[in-house]
Amino acid sequence: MFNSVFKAFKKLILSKRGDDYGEKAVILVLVVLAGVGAFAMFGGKVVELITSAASGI
Amino acid sequence: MLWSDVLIHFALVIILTWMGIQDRRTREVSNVLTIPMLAGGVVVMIIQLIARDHLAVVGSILIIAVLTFAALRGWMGGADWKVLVGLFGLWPLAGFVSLAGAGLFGAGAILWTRDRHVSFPAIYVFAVASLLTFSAEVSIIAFS
Repeated sequence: MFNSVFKAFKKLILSKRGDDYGEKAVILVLVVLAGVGAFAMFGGKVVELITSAASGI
Repeated sequence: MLWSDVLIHFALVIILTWMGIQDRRTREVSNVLTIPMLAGGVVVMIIQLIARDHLAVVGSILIIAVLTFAALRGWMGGADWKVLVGLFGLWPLAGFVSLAGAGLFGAGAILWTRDRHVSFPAIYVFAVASLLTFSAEVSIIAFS
């Protein structure tokens, strides 16, 4: 498991390919925008929960 | 924003332009340029995580996690992934604009060619997006 992940990362780091695909680029942007939107809506609550949990510890 | 930041961003725009020209000509970018950029971005993020500004770095790390998942599945080239990770570490605003620019360019390419699987030189798009970001930054500084 660890070996295959290491090999995949090594291949990725040594790859020189600079191509991106139209469909995948659009999906990636939509996923990231959805994440940013979700963080904008619920991020404050999450930070509040983390802060209260940290102060509890 | 400090003038040192502006100089660093200017240097990044020049390096990205160089990489973008390589990408447009050969659809490949030399590891001599991309690996130091990846390393620089990761080092800056680690320093920021240790020192300050946890929230901004956590946002970048989440986006990088999504990009890494996509790159490992072959959705983008290795050079694109390295440059984007480096940008999110060194200049997060340009990283975000580059990602959005690639999405817009991808959508335009799909509409233009009527082919969902059309490929394009993404680092060339990142270079243009970073140049636009840099121009906006300089004009904000100049007129403020």
